[in-house]
Parts: sequence; structure tokens; C-alpha cells
Amino acid sequence: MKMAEVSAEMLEEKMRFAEKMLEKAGAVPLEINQKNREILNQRQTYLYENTYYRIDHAAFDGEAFLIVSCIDIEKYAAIGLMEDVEAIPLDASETQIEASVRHALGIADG
Amino acid sequence: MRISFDLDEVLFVNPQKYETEKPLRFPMNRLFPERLRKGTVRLIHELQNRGFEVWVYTSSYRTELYIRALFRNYGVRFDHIVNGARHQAEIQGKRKDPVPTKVPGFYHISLHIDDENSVIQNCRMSGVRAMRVFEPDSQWAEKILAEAVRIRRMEEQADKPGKEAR
Repeated sequence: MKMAEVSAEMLEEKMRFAEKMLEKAGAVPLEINQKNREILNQRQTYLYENTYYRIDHAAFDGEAFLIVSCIDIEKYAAIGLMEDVEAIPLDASETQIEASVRHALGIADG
Repeated sequence: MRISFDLDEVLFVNPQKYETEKPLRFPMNRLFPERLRKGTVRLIHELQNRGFEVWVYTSSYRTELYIRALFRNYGVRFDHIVNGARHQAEIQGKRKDPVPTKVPGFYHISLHIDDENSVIQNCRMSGVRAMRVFEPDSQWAEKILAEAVRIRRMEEQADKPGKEAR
């Protein structure tokens, strides 16, 4: 799906769903990046097995993707400095999004 | 037995010079642009299937999370990863004199694979077996596997008298 075709509502809905999948897998929401959430509109940070995760979005060649980013150092997480480890097409099904989020968390399914 | 691999020029190679594993699907190839030397995935799996513990020992500052995520996309899971930051924290520490860029013996690694001659020499001087992989070689994986098996056999034989004495 082209980023140009994505509405703000749809983006919010997809990102919120991915965050719910983080929580469903056991990730705990934190308030450590509060300043960046206010200033940069950054999403909430989650903690799962000593690693900090955040959902973001990006366009590659004009295509829209959800991005899962993470870091294992709290001070970097607090300023939003993370590694991008998973890209999920924005038009992926809910099942695919959940599977990709779990993959990013290092949870082996099946 | 533990075997460790350097990343740059050993497992990560220039696709214009080396045969490589297939790139990751778009857009993961943008998140992880490194290309793996052809045979890497099969070699790591084969070593682990044969009971070897496989580590990464790199002087690069790529995070452990990044390295794990990259290789997870190829179905590879390393047992441990030592990057530049971990080496700095655990080995260099507060020492004033610089230590070698890699000290596999600190982690009880029996065989280290690297492209840099200085690393190979340092390993050997500290009693760690090391193997240099630094140019295209279609037999590289077989050579490493054979060396790992040979060293394990030597270590097992060296252990035998001690065990019998107990």
C-alpha cells in the first residue's frame, strides 16, 4: 500500500493494533520516553524480556510499513534511539501483523 | 566446544566479490543490508547440529539485538554474541594498557574464525586455535567444519587421562 494512500486514522489504527500485539505477547507499556512522545509524537515504549520495543512507521520506495524497533539499554530507549528489526506491510492482515510482532520479539511459533 | 566467528569480511561479505546467500525480502534488505557469505546458514546449523556452541565475536559496535535480528531472518540463532561494546566492558574494562581487539580465550572459545592476520596471531599467542578466512573459497565451510571436528577430538583426547585419574 502506498504511503500516500494511507490516512492518519488508518495509520493510528494499525499502529495501535501492533502495540496491542506487543502487549498480548507479554510486553509491558512504559512511560520512559514521555518527552519524545510529546515533542516528536513518538509512540509508547514497551518492555519485553529486558528489551525495549516501540512501533513506528516508514515508507520504502513509497510503500507503507509498520516498523518494530528495539534496544536493550534503557537510556537509549528513553531518548528513542533504537534498532529497526522488523518491517510489516501496512496492509498485512491482523494475523500477519501478530506473527511479525512475535517474530520481532524473538518468540518462535509452531 | 565453542567456536566463534568474526562478522565483517568473514560472515558479512561484499556481494560483488563473493558468492552470497540470497538477500532478505524487501524491505528487510533495507533494514539489514549486510550480505552473508554463501554457505553461512548451512555451516552454522551443521555446527550446532553436531553439538558445537556457535558464537559471534566481532569488534564492530552493531548491537547484539541487531545481529540477532539479522540472523533470525535467516533462521540462525547464535549461542552468544560478543560485540565491541561487550568486549570493551568485559575485557578492556578499566585496564590502562590496550588489550587485543579480540580475546576468545576469555570466553573459553576453542576455535576462532577471523579475516585479520593480527587477530589470528594474537589468538595463537594466547593458546586459542584460530583459522583465517579472508578471500573467496568455495570450500570455506567444509574446512571450518573439519577443523572444528579435529580440535574437538584433540580436546577430548587431552581430557581423557585426567578423567581416568579421577
